[in-house]
Amino acid sequence: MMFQKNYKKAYDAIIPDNALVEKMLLLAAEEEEQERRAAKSRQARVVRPMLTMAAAIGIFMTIVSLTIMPVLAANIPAVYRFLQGISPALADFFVPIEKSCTKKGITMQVEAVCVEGNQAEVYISFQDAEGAGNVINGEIDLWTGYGLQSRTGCSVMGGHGFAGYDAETGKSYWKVSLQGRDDFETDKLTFYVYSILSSISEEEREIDLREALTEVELQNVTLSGGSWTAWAELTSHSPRRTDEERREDPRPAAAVMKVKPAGECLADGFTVTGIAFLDGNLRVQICMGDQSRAVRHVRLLLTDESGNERTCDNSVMWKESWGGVAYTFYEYVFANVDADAGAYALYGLFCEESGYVEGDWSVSFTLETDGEE
Amino acid sequence: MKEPEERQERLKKTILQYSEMVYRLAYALVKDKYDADDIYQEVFAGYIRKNPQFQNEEHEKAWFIRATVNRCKNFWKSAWQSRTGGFDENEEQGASKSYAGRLRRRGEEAFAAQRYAGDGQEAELIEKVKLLPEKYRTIIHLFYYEDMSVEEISTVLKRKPSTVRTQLTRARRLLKKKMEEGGNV
Repeated sequence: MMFQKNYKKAYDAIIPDNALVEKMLLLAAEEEEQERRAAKSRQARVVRPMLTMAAAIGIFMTIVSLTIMPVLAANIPAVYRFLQGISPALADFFVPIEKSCTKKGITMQVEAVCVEGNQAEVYISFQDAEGAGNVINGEIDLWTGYGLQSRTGCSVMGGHGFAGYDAETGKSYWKVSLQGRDDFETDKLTFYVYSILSSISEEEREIDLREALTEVELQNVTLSGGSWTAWAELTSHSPRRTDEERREDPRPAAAVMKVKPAGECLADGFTVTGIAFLDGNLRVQICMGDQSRAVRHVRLLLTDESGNERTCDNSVMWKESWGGVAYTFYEYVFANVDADAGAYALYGLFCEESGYVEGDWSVSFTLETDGEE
Repeated sequence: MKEPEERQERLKKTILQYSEMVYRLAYALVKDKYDADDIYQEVFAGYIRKNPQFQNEEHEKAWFIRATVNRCKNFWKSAWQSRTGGFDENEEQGASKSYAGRLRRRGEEAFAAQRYAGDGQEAELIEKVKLLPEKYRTIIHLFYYEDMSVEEISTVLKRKPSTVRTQLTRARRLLKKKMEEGGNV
């Protein structure tokens, strides 16, 4: 009871600034005003055609060619509201598409597109098809094989980011950025996604620091990710490479622990391959296994004897091949951790995104017409 | 009163009614004033734009709690992804050491000082709760601040009642340990 009383007292003091509340009230008033204007405009659209029927025949062709031109995203409430929520400044640059494709009980919808030259940005959504299972629950990820195709060719580079989940509609939104070798022709475009990862599992695991080594052999690896400059500074181990070696492989290298080969690690899970206190730093190496079928993340947290938590100061990532499978390794460093200073505890939040669904979804659409219909 | 005016009044009333609840829950989960500000705005902007209809007040309250927890999860997920996303992670770490990062920390300290001026005990309690994992903080907050029962929490968070009960027990144990370590029981 005492705890509850103190907790309530503590949190009673946590309140939003008045300015923040005012801002929301203002937004509500603005939204209401927009709604009122939209209602008036809808009313006007019903009345006006009756009054101008005769004149309309003369300009019919013009109107047709105008109406089949893509309207701005702002004219379609669903897309507009979604884009407004993400970036009001960008909303008007996107052309709403709202065309979908359903396969494997999942509907992919191309919501809106912005194409300029050889660059394209596409907002898409995934949603469980009506009557289908509960796969899309906000925790999915795009996986390999997505792109945009036009008459001039296909996108050659791309990246994607989670844009939001709408619990009301059950839609999971993604923004995909693509680049083609040549400019995209906008008379016919096809956006496709080959597969998605549909489920995420998390676990919390204690890592036993009593197993930490104090002496360990190092090896140089070619990195696929991480900041090698900061790594070299933090660990004081910088691989010396000749100019010739650099010319052969310009990718950065780093000195990491040589503890467990890929062949002894799990291909379909996490393996903590080594822990060591080296030069006043704590190093933790984890093999994430084969990432081609499941994406794995680890967030390591080191707790000191007072219960203070900290995350690592740096990490590097590389790959090792074994039996035709590419194993992904991460090595993390916590700087200035004295092995003799006291009781540290280390735990990791291990997250795996799996549930590989191959749907091969694709949607074709046109961005522009020449206005001659 | 005309329909748009009624709607306007209803929006205003709801925002004022749930403002503090949403903000406190967001702060308990993301542990930072500025992130709580962002979550708060996202929740209410979503509410204003969607204008969902509720069956009753309980349904309404559950919607706001769920929306806040979901926004916090998205926030947590994106923060995690940027931490583990190869080259990007170090950019984030660099940013936290930047001028903007220092300003942000200073703002957070000022916020805390303003809120807990003259009473170190409450500030310390909040700091201890902040040390708990996110899943425990949610339950602790809903149970102790919002006075929700295990069954109500289980419905809102879509977790089994047995899971909620176990997590609540673990959270209490962990918190007690942290309080004892701080000599504050």
